[in-house]
Order: sequence, then structure tokens, then C-alpha cells
Amino acid sequence: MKSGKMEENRFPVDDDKRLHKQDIDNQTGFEVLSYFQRFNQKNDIYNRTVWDSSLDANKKAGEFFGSHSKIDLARIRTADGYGHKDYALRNATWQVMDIAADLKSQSDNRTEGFLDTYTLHKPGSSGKRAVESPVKMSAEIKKVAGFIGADLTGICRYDERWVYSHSYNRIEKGEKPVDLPDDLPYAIVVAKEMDYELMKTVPSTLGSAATGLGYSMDFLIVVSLAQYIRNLGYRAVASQNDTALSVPLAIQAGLGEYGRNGLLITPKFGPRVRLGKVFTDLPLASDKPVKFGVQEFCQICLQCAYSCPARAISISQPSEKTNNISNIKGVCKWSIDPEKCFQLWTNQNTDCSICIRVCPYNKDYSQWIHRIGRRLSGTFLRKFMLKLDLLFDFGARKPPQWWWNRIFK
Amino acid sequence: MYYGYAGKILRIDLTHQKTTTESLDLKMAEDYIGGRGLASRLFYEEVNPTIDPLSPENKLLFATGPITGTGAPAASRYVVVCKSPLTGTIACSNSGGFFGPEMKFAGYDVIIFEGRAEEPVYVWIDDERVDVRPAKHLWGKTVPETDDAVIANTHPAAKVACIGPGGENLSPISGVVNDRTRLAARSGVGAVMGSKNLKAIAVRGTEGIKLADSKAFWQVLLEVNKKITNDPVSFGSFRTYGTANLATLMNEMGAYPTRNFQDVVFEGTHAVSGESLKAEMTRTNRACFACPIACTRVTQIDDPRFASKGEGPEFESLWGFSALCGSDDLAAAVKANYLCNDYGLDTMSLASTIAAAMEMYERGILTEKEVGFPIGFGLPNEMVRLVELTCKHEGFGIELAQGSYRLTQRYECPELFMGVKKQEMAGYSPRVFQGMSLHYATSNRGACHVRGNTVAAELYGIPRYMPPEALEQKEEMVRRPFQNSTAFVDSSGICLFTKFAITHREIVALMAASTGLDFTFEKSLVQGDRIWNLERLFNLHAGFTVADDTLPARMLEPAPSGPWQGSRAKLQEGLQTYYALRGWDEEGRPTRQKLEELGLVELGEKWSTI
Repeated sequence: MKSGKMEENRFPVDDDKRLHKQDIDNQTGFEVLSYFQRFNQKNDIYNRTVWDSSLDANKKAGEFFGSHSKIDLARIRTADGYGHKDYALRNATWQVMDIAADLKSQSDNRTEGFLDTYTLHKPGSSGKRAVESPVKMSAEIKKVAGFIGADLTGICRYDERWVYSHSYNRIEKGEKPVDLPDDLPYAIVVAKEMDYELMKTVPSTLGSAATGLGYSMDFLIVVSLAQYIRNLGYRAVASQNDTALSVPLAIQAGLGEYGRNGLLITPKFGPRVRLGKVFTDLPLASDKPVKFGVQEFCQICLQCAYSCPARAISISQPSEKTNNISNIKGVCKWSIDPEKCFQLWTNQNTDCSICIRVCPYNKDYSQWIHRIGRRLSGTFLRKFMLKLDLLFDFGARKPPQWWWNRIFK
Repeated sequence: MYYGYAGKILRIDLTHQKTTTESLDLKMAEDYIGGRGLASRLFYEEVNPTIDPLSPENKLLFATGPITGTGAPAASRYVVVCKSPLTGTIACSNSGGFFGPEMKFAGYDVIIFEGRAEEPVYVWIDDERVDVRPAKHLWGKTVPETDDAVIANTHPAAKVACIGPGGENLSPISGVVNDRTRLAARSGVGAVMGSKNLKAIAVRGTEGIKLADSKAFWQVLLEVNKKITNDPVSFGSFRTYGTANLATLMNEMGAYPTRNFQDVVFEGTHAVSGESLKAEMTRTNRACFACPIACTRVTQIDDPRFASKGEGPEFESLWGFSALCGSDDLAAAVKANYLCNDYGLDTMSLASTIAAAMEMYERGILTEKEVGFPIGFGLPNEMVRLVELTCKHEGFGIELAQGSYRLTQRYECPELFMGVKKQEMAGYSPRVFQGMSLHYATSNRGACHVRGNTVAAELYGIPRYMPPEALEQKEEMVRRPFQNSTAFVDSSGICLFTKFAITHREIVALMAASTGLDFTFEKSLVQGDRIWNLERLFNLHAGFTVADDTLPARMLEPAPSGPWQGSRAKLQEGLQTYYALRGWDEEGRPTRQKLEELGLVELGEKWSTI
């Protein structure tokens, strides 16, 4: 919190609650409290559909997941963006991710990848390649990650707080210890941009194709990157939604800031990214967290909160309050309500992403004018910039038909 | 599944800044309807009647009725319930505008505020999301400034209810202001909000209200709408002249309290009346949510002394700042009303307090030393100056802000206080209107004109004409078609002004169709009675006795002029009959039989003072 006025607008957290603080928190701005508990993957909203019968979204969750693999013509609606070809494209983009995630592990009864760790890989190199300079090695890793397809790459120290307390086995419906060696001191966090134009069409089944492709690409990136490191003779664990929380690691790795919508806001793509990470013992140099005014901007903006049809995004100041067990305990932050969020997804049979679309940071930053706007949004002009954003209605939805027609022109 | 009702009660603990949601008990809703009834019921159970009204133990309830916001004509009302810092009775102030319906759209029938925030806060309710935010920067701001600032920091569609500096200064004559100019003014509910350090409540609701039988509802709605728009009082005079149309009527009746109730006819009424207001200042009229009447005046003062724009005044404000203070200056009266709106003060109580101060000055009880400048009846500029001082809480205004009861007590002239149970009377002289005399004395929140406005019968002949000066049958009339009926109407969420055109039967039909509950005409009579008795129980537990059901001595003296010259309030002759009809004993306490009949036995024994 930089400006004095913002500081005034916050209800302070008692100092004695800030025990779990680590040095990195001064740079990221995380407030971790004394009763902090690591997140249990079992409480992840998607895993709760497996075991938590009290979850309202459960009634339609099966249908929701099922529609990703098989198109049920009865569920197809006449609404623009929910047609047969939209489902066809969305499911196609998920295909690569699904192939990985549907693989059964050879050693035990569990899935391989996505929500669980990847163990299927080749042995790599028998001897280690000496690393002279971790800084140079980091630059090389970023080069390689970029070559494989990552749009953003950052490196941070391993932080146990963000690793799940337990993993969850969806097949056997039970908790298990996290399958991650604790002597991997670095995490490489990669981000893949989701298509800007498709994101304009959400909520729609068509728009979800951007999400699906993001996951599929991430799969390729983290698995290849981890294998590259193994081939250098070091250990590496590729991870997507399994093992650890991606957003806090990404923030510590300097990919962006935390937004009101609970997402990572990157300088280059705003909230429009998918995340993956690789844990490794390859000597690397960690990046510094970045600040470009997102937290101050989110204080005044609330576009995501007001636009959320499920009312799942907080309108309050960051607080330690949790909505339900799907929120991590003991971190002072904006917490979304995953139950309400997911219920909406199951109701409309596709994910939503409105909070990404309406975010003023969701811009095509290849245009210089938006880069200037981003810069000004981090200054005292943020209120004015927000007004401009609303005036031009940048967050408006484009009809999915617009996207289809544009392609064929 | 709730129909008609939003179905949720929101509880905000300001001390710990915690919010909880409870679901509405439909059984209770069937007995107490909603709005005033339901809020009083919840309040009665939770708050000890003997507490200090400005302590954190007092609770502040905002409540809507089952047809608030449904689109039924003029169904826009919400009520504010707490223990009154002015009277010490249960307070229930009522306001229209758009705040009540918005609250309902956000999903809440009742919002309960408890405790006291350490520092000034405002509450932002966006559907189910509730945020308690610091409001240090809003403290001291007037109502329009607060409204603008809150909307700028929340959402353009938000509706705001707030207090002005009056409430912040804990003035017992301050109200809660919603939509900038609409006040739940009486009984000092603003001071309770101020004592909780709660500056404003902003609400945005996006969920609709489900109707149990929308077809039947619309059928009744259209019928009711037609009745209202064909009614000469509701639609005719209220739409054309606003409530201020009553000024001329009351003056012609010889029931227009003048110069602190010394007289009943004001010679300057032609200059300060609904007609002159329409001719000189009214620019247009404005309506509350779903209201076909649109009685609000949008006015503008061109007079260079007070040039400004705003809304109002209503009849009582116009009367208070003209006849009651002996001033025939329309611009001054309108300006005083604007100031009260902006600072969140009750015009009726303040005007009455100023009138009392003027009389005290003329009698030499007050001197220029205390006030700072000479005052007296018929001095409009000085009157506006006194209003300004009260609004800004400066000099003599600090004493005026305490209301006329406390002012007259302080200067040891209690006989100059013109009110009942510490609350000031309205612009209908009880010397002439015997129904009003009985009602003023027995009203549950001190002197008040809306909870039993017998003028409807004594002037308009609604539901049937009764000569104003006679007491016969008034006891029954005050009790049933007015006091009980108003309790029912206030609970339903519809505006009292529709009552000139429609009866319980239509309101009951609307309620039944919207909620799907078994509301009937017969039940509505019992419900009104039950609510009135519950409020009475609270007051009895709070220490009120038969001695408090009285009028100022001046009202028992004969009227000095006018068509009803010589008429006086015949309260004492009718009070015991009224008690008996109510099923109360001679001390004004409900009998056990009455409580059993109304199902109030358990509640009656909750607080053990009687």
C-alpha cells in the first residue's frame, strides 16, 4: 500500500497475527497470519465434487465434467457461443490436456498429471552438467521455456507454505502425502497467454476454448522444461494444478501481482494467463516480485466484483475472512467464493471467465496506447484511467459469432 | 422458497464487524407481516426496553414489507426501528424512495445493526456481499455530499441511506435520510445510527422478487392502480399540490396550529400554502419507486436571500416553518426545509422547538444573551438562522438540537412544550380534531400524525365522515380504522397515501398474491391490533404509564378563534373508553385476556416490569 489514503481505508490486522511472515512477503505484500494452514488439495473445489455431497454444485458437476469429453446434443443450446461447433472446438482444445490427465499411473491407482503429479518421463542424463553461474543458467532456462512456448517465465525460491498439505487422489477418493521432494530449492513458474479475442466472447463455450488451449499448452511446456532439466542431470518435477498453489509462487517469481478476482495479474497479459511450474534443484537465480500498481488499482476498481454473476468476488478490503473450506486459511487477501463461482459454471455447463474479460488489465498490450494506459493506471491517475476504461467499455462482451466470422474473413 | 418476501435477515455486528444472515421465519411473518410489525417483533425480543437508547445495546433495524418493491402502486416503504432517544419509546420511522425496494432486491427483508463501531463506518451491501468500510472521510459531510461520495466509492446504481451532521451530533430530532431527500425523520432514529458510528448504508440489489401468483397479483395491481389514479385525494390533490395542499384546508377548518399552538388560524396562510408553493416554486414533481401519485415537489427558490434548489417541503414542514413560527415567508420556510434535509433533521420537531424558543423569548424566559440575536414570531430570517445554527450545531443551535421538551425543561417552562411523550405534535390541532387529540395522546411513539390520521375521516370523510368536534365513536375510530390499520399498512410496505383510495381488502389481496401466505381481511385487523399492542408492551416495560397518555395543558384550553372557536381537546372524556375498547385496564395495560387473544402472552412476560 503506497498512498496514505489507501492505508487509511484498511482495517489493520493485529501485528501478533503476522507470525508466518517471511522475507519475501515484504516484497510481495502477502500478509500471512499466525493461524495459517497450508491448503489441502482435498478442499479444492474440483476435488470437492468427488467427496463433498453437501456441495450444491454437485448436482450438475458430473454433467459439467462429462460435457468436456463427450458432446451431449441435448445440452447444446441455440444461444450464440453455446452451439455444436463451439463445444466441438472447446473439447478439442482440451484434448491434449485430457490425454495426459486421463493416463493412469503405472505404479499406483491414480491419474497422471493436471490434478496429480507427472511421473511418466525418461531418466534424463546420468551425470550433472556443471553450472558456473546461476544467473546465466536462469537466462538460459527462460530462453528454453520461451522457445518451448511459455509467454512468461519467472523463478522463485521453493516456499513450503504454498505446497499442499495433502494431495488428493480422485480415483481412490482419499488424501495422500504430497509427492514432492523437499530438497528442490527452486520453482520455475511459466505462464501461457490465453487468446485475447476468444476471451472477449466469454461467457461462452467458445470462450472456454482459450482456457482449454492454455492448459494443453502448459502441459507441453512444463513437461518439456522438466525433461530438459533432467537431461542436464538435475532433478525436476513438472506441475500444473497439482502439488502447490500456482498464484502465490508466480507472484514470488515476479510474474505479476495479486488481483481482486483472485487471479495473477501480469503486466504483459493482465489476468489472461494459465500457469504451470517446475520444481528443481538446478542452481538458479530467483527473480524479484514486481509491483506496477495492481493492488492500488483493485482497491478502486471492483469491475470484476460488480460483473460477477455469481457474486463470488469480494467487494471488501483484503481480509483474513474465508468464505468456505475452499479458501486458504490465514492469509490476508481478497478471497473469492469458489462454491458460488463453480455453481455458476455447472449451471451454464462451461467455465465463466467474466472476471478476466472485464478486468481493465485485460488488454492487448502490444498496442502502445494501452502500455501508456497501464503505466498511468499505476499512478495517481488511476481513478481517471478507470473512468476512461468504463467510458470506452473495454470490458464489453463480443458475440461469439463475431469471432467465428472474423476467422473466416 | 420465499415469495413476496426476500427471505433473509441480515445481521451486522458493528462492534466486531461481523455479518450473519438468517432466514426469515414465515410463521412470524404471517403474524407480524413485515416492515413495522416484523421489525418491532424482532426488536422487542432482542432489546431490553430499559436500556439507554444511545448505548451500543440498542439495535437499529431497517425493514421492508412483503409488497415493498414488488411493483404494487406506491409500495416503496421501509421502516427504521430502534428505541427512540427522543421519547424513550419504541421508535419506528418510515420512508419511501428507492432504498427500501433496493434492499429487497439485494435479498433482505430486515437489516439489523448491533453494537457500535469504534470509528465511523459505512456499510456497502452488494447483494449477498456485505462490506463494512471506514467512513472517517464522510464524517461531518451533509447528506448530498455523503450520498455522492458513497456512490462514487461503490456503484452508480447503489441507493444510499445515511445520516447528516444532525445524527452525528446525536441530536434526538435527527432522522435517517435515503435517496438524498427522503427522511425517516421522527423519533430521532438518526441519532441512534450516529451513536453506532454508522454514517451510511449503500445497497445494490440485482435479484428480483418472486411472486407466488403473479397473474392474480397483476390483476389486483391494475385494479388498485385504477382506484388510486381515480381518487380525488390520493391522486387529485396530492399529485397537484403535494401534501402541502392541506395547509389551506387546515387553516379554513380552523385547526391550523399557529405560534406554538397558541392559535388555530394563521392569517398568512394564503402566502404559504400548497397553492402558493405550486405557483411560485414547484418546478416538477417526483415519485418514489412504483408510485403513480408522485407527491414530492421538486422546488427552486429564486429569492436572492435563499436562492437554492431542492425537494419539498411537505405539509408539516411548510406548516412548521410558517404558521407555527408565525412567519408568512414562503422562501424562508422552503429554505429551512432544505437545510433540514441536508443535515438530516426532523422538520416538524425542529420547527416546533424553534416556535417554543420564540415564545420563550417573547415571554422573557430567553434573552438575547442566550440566543445571540433577537428572535420572535414572524421573523423569517431569524428563523432560518436558528435552523442553520441547529444544523451546524453551533451556539444556541446546540440547545435547539435537543428538541423542545429538553429545551423547555432546561429553562423551566415545560408548559411551552407542545407534544406528547417528549415528541412534538404535527399540524392538526387536537383542540378541533377530537380524533387527533385521542391519537396524539395514545400514539406509541409520542405525538405523531401518521399513525392515526383521523383527519381523513374528520375532513375528507374517509372511510366515513365524522364531525371533528364531537367525541362520539371516536375512541373506536381511532383504535380500529386508524391506529390498527396504519400498523398494518406500515407493515405491508405500501405508502399510507394510498389509503385514501384503497382499503385493507386490496392490500391484503396484494399481499396474499405476492407471498402465497394466507392473509385475509379478518386477519389483517388482528395483525394491526397485535402490532399496536406489542409496541404498547415495549413502552410499558420502558416505564411509560397512563400519566404519559396526555396532551399539553394548552390543548385543553378553548380555541381562541376560527370556526371552532371555544373547542378544546376532550381527551380525558374519551381515554378510558378507548382503553376499554382496546382491551386494556384503567392503567392502559393490556389485560391478560387481550394478550391471549393476540398471542402475546409469552412476549408480554419477557421483560418483567409489569
